[in-house]
Amino acid sequence: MDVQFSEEELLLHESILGQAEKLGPTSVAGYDDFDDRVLWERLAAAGALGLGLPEELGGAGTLSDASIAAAALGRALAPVPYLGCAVLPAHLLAAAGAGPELVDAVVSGRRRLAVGIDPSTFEVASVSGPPALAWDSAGAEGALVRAADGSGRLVAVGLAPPTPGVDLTRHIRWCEPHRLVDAGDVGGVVGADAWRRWEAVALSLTAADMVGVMEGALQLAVEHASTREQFGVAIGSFQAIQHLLAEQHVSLEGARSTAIYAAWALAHRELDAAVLAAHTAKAYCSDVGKRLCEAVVQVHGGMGVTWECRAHVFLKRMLIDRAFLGDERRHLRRIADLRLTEVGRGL
Amino acid sequence: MDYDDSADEASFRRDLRTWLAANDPGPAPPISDSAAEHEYKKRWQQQLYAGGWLGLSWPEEYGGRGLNPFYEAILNEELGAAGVAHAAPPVGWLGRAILAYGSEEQRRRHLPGLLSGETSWCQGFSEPGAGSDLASLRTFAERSGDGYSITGQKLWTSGAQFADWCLLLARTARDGPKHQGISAFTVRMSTPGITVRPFKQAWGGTRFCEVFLDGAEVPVTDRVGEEGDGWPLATVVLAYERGPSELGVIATYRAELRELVGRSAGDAVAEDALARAYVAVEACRLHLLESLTRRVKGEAPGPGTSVDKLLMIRAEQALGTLELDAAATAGITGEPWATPSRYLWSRAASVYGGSEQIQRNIVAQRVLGLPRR
Repeated sequence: MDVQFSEEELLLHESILGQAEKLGPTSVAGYDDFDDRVLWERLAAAGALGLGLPEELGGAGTLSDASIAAAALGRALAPVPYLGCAVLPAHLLAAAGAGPELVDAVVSGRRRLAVGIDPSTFEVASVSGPPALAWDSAGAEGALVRAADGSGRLVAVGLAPPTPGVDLTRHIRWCEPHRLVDAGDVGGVVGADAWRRWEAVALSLTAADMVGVMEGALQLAVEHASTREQFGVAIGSFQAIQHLLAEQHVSLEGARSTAIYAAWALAHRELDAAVLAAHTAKAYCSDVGKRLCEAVVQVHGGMGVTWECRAHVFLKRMLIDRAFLGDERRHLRRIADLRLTEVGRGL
Repeated sequence: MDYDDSADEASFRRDLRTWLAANDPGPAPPISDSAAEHEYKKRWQQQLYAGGWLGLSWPEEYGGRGLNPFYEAILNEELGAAGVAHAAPPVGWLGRAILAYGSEEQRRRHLPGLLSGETSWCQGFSEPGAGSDLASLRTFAERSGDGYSITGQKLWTSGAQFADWCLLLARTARDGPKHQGISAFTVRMSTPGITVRPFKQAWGGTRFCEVFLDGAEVPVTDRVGEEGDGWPLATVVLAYERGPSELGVIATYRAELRELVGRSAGDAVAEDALARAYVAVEACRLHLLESLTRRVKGEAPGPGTSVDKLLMIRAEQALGTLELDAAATAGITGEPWATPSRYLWSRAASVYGGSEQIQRNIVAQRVLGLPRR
């Protein structure tokens, strides 16, 4: 046992966080029409877009590395579609056995494809199903969805312009299922286990983004509470504020532990255990993450609900992460279903 | 990042499982019968010690095995998985204090018996006027000749009625800052002037006691550390009490979850609450493994153990409430098969070892760095 980040992992986090802070918006107004290309290219050049994929597909590193990168980008509120247009489509294409050229084009940042999700079932949408949403799809030329024939093959469909969207840092777009996009060799049938595994990857890495958002938001609140004075003292010296923030820190620590383990389990545990760990992380982070961001708004007082303060930007990114692939209610239910089948087998 | 056992750890775990399969301590008595509980735990501790499973991370010269703390975690996990409790967790906390502050003679005198269960110990810290504000304790040790004469009162002293020895905090200076005038002593419970009065808890047991000291004579050789070392010693004990040595509770939580799954099948509301408790236990377990890794790498337990403690409180109380809800009406009427004692005990989780509110103060001020007043 050695449950601690290595030097390399810490450096990766520092490097991605540094790039995102340097090249991202410096104010809330900066998110309007932000041009993400420079940051996107830097991430691609650093190999961040293909983390956790095999080398022959242009990938490098581990899913734990991808989780670390996602957390760094969440913390920086980076307006780049890291999960939506790189890691998640690339892992889906890999699961389908797509052509290496297409996967390489995605992980090298040359082509952006998103993944279409059915917002009622939270599964990858079907061309013939209800309207689908592509989360985190800024700049994508299309979205991967299931083919109409029910075979489990992928096709790419067009995307409408971004919705007004609550998240200032990422785009949400409706899929246009009647407009097929030629994405190249998207591979063959994605098997049942491969779908489950992809979902576990998506849940685990979204949980990592949420951990990053929590870190950034809590840091903002601690800084504010340490400097804002009322009654002649910093408000962070009041026990009411201290206990509120201490509880959020405990939530963050628990959340980080579940997210780190979920990413690790994908490579080191049986699929069933990895799926359970992914649901656990998504349920826990969705539950505590929303409350943490709300507390951060609260600690900022009236400032917390102004457009200029980043508190609402953290809260909104958290709300979208929480909704993506279902909030804690869905995942607690899945855990209950999974665990009840395990009675007698032990945990 | 590696959550798997090393080859040595895996082989240790296999041996332990084999041993546990052949050494069942039998069902634990209810927590409402404190005397039976004490006897049961003492016997089980002696059995574990004879099997070579105690003091795993203690130095070999004091009866330990000199292994790293991961082995303690494995022991805790496997005990819980087998559905049996750890012998007596305070052995670990008290042992740490004697290891860190005791003289060579004290270590050799006390540690082997503490470990083997030959001697029973209690922890004399809290007082009627010194709970969360432990440093305001007033029990006084008056120096006279080759010893001290100790007078005062201790409260919440678990198992004092069964103990041979007490690790006791008492004030040795009447003036000066309150954190600095405290010293620690090992006190024989049979010393004249000591009276123990057990009292009944909400769940029916008599685990807690009042201890009265009226001029109890303690030789100077039974002072642990120097005069004034009491506060840092207490900090060590409490940090270990709150920290990853508690991994054993996780295994207990898991065993309880398993049992509750059977009782809640088909009840969607209970199932969701159960899933929520499972998630809380997992977050706590995984965080404890991180804390344990830092411990193994040589970091002393610090304010971060309060985070572990707060995660444990959340898990413990979620489970306690589930057990109450699963028992439904029977929990209220007190049917013998469903007394809510486990739930009631879970309410103490946010008090013992330093209250939840004290833990939050520690996290806010010493982890987040928020300003003190």
